Amino acid sequence: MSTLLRDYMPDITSLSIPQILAIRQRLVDDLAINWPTLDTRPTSVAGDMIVSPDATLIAKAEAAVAMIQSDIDLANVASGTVYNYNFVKAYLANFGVTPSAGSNATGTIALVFNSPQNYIIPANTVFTFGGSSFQITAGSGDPVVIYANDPSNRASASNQWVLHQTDVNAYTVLLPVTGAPGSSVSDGTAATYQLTIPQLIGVTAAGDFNSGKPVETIQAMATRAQQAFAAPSLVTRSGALSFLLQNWPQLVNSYVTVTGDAEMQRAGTNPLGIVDGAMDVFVKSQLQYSNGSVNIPLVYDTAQGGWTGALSLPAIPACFAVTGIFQTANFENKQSKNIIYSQSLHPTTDSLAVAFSKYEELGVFVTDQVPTNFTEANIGNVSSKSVNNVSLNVTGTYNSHMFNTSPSRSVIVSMGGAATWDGLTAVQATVLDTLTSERGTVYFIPNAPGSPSGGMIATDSPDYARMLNGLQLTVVSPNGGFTPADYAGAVFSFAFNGRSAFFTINYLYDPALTQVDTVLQASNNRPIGIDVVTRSFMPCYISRFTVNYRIGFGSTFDAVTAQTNIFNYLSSISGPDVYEEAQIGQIVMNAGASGLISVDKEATFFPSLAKTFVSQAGVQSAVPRFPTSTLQVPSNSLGLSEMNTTFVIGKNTIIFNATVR
Amino acid sequence: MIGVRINFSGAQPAFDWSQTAVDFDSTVQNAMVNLGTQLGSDSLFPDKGTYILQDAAQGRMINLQWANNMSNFAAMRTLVFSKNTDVPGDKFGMQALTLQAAVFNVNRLQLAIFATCVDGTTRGTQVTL
Repeated sequence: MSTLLRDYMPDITSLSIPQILAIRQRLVDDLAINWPTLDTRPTSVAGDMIVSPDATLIAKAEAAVAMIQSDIDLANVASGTVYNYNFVKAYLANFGVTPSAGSNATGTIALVFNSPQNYIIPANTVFTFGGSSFQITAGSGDPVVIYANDPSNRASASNQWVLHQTDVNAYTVLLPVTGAPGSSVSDGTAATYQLTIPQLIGVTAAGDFNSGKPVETIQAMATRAQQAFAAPSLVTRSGALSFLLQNWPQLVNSYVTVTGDAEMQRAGTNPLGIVDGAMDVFVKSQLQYSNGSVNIPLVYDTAQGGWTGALSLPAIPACFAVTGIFQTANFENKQSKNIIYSQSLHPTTDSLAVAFSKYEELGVFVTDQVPTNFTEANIGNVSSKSVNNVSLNVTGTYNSHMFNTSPSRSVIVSMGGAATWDGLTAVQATVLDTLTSERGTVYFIPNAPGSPSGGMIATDSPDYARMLNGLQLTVVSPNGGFTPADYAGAVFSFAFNGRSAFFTINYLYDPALTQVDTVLQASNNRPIGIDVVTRSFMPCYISRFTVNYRIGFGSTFDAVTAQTNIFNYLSSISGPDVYEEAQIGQIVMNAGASGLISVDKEATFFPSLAKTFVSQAGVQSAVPRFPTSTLQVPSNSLGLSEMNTTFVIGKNTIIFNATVR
Repeated sequence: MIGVRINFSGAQPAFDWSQTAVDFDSTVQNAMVNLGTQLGSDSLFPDKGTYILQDAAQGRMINLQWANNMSNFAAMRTLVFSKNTDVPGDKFGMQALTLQAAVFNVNRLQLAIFATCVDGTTRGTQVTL
């Protein structure tokens, strides 16, 4: 890899005068440190004989060093900036990256004669197809001998070719040919040649030629070296991408956002003012997502008039789309009004910035007909380990909660000490669900102003809605009134369930997400100080895609192929590429159309599957959605960009309208 | 400001490594080098030099008046270049420079050079082209 600086030294005319003068001034300043009185002005002896020539040489050397630095930066080489081909080639060879050998184009030609005779074809005969030249493959004989029939007295069976009658006056022999890599020849293409054999009536390509593979370019080698040797760690964006490529080469797309990116919505600063490191890893393992289905119990909320519960999807960290909610034995809930809720389970991020990850918990609320198969609401007997003969009475109907996974609870309510709630004297109590191990805090307040006969649960208690929603709990002491000391230490247990039914949820998901997330979160891989969240690409659902094309009278249009190709195109768009109407035009033209008139599109970008986000404090806010008729990503919107979004469309959504002209 | 002394008194200018040109003398010496340098010969400093030597060698100075005229142009160009390349605030910078044809005949042109420093000091000498 030895190289000399002179190999890179540019001609002085390629340097700018201001550049050299700046270096000259640098030299003057440096010299003034040790020789402050030396006259280095132009026309002085030192100025003209030392400083100016040296400045010129240094300028050339600096330019040469810059070019060397560029040549060892594989990103520059990969983008096509190469100053010294031989040096870069030797440099890449140090990494074991050498140009992969190309292969010639190959094919078979049919020589058709009008007479069954023996023929001699010189081995170096050139057959030209358009601008591509081919010769008979070496080893086929020199010269190539073609026999009229199969002579039994041949010395050898190799390299001897025999005519076969293919028509009344046509005798054909097939010969292998090779040409320069990249030469493309289609079946049946006629060749030109210099042979002077009167009986030879034509030479054509017998089948499509294999165009071979050109020798690998230096740019391609640099790209290969980059991919092979980039540090596959999760510390940097390129390292993370390299890590993903190395571990899951089957990913069709991946993208990484880090702190500072416009797409990163959950980075912040810690109390010391230091920026928290955050990295979102978006993965997409297949063009078409997998279909999943799960039965979940939902509870009828008598207050809201609908069925609700957590959209709990076991074994996958996040679903990508809900395609149907219905009750298997009763009705398909196509006309239902479904509201999906979202809340963040992330320890520090209480926003949609964790959408489409395992940290986003989804809940559902379904308004529809009353399902036939359901379990009635029930409240079991209350057991008490009471003090002072305090009793608990439970009435009402359990309405569950949009993030509850179970329609039943078996709780232990432990009364604590005195407290204040809503400005009233209260008793604080803890609630433990023995089925789910959930814990919560509720408050009991006087059941009437002035002179209460006991206490009742405050329905605005912190965990009432989540754990006891819809139930009325009252406590009574034999002492009468509501004196907290009378209730302290009382423990009650009881079970209850809401009116519940099982619903079937159909959804789309990316099966690789779990696997990728598991590996990224492993302690061996997870970087220190950087919070990594694995997410699915954010969807843009295309609800209308009507292609208006023009077609000539009498022409046919292959709608099935066009539909498939458009579907594949839309499903495979990944950043930085964006939707291009010209691609649709190309597809319909290939399918037989004479032109593309327009494409009517309706789609929506979804920052979350949910319609409502519920903060950890219980505050609900609407999730914006971004409708589009251009399929262009809205800018600066909740972290959406062309790099982390994907298009989702059903094949049947793609329809065609023809205008015959 | 110290520079290597150039001896202009010989047939050809020569470096005198045993002596130095100090302060305003160095400035004047630089001006004389500039006078003898052909304009455009230094790619780094396109304004450096004059045409006086070229004009003399090519016979463009046809009489004393013409020689004085060209000398004035050369002096002005040199003064501007000197001011442009002097270190700002240099107390030994050039204030004025005059060039006068002292002797003019077919064989030689003798120029009298008078340089004035910013502090008022003057130097005078003669060179023969």
